[in-house]
Amino acid sequence: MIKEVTFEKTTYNELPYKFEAGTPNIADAIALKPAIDYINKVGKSNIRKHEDVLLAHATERLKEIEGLKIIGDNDHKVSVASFVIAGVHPQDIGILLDNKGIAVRTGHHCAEPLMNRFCIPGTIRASFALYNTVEEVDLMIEGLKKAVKVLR
Amino acid sequence: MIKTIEQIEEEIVDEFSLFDSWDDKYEYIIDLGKKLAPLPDEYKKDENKVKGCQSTVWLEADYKDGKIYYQAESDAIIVKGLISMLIRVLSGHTPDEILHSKMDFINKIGMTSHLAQTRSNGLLAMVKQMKHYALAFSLKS
Repeated sequence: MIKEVTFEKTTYNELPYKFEAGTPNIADAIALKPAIDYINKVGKSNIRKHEDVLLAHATERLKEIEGLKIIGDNDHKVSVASFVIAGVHPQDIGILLDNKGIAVRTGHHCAEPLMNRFCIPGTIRASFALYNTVEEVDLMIEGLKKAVKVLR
Repeated sequence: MIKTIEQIEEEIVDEFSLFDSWDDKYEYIIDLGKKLAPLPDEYKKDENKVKGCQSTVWLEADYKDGKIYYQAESDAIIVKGLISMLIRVLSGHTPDEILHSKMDFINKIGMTSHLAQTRSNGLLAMVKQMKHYALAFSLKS
């Protein structure tokens, strides 16, 4: 936003207003309340339970893939499975899974020192949330198996 | 007669039009990647690395008799397949031809719209790097 505009000069408002151009993000601010209501209605512990089911199922089924190694295997971790597969680059897996409509993140996840520590170029990372299902985890496993077969 | 960049691009577009699905397209690209000649270790140095890629890409360019010859490699096989196509299109042409190439084939085979943005950055970075070499050689000659 500006303070004053004339043909001679433009004076900008003070921080942070000078960077607030146009209409503020009203829609999202309004949507935040129903989002919080929804989370409270489902209950955080229920969400956690659902995520645990998905993560346990994924962790178990990932073992079916030959040469797969999970990076980060703490007992109590958020529902994220980060892994590498021997002889296959994460990016290749990412591209082939994209093609099947399966969204995983690949690469060093902006954590290059950690990747160097493990001597890996990056990982494949699947995150499981409230809206995911066990069937979707199975689809991901099938997608992974096919991708590995094509790439090796 | 040596084919122009546009003619080679057209060839690739024709080849890709034969595939019914992206599964087939990717299998073809993976195959190209597996067939790409490995880059000698002496060229796998930091200054040959292409920035902006999720995977490591090394690109080497040589200038001989007014033409640029590219060699490249990556640790990711699909990326290698993509590089193989870029080399096929651009290698053996003059800096001027390379600088003026539109590289439309990448769009026409659907690659730009099919690859997620975070994954296609590398492809565009490679094209950019190849053109940078062309610019450098054109200023030298």
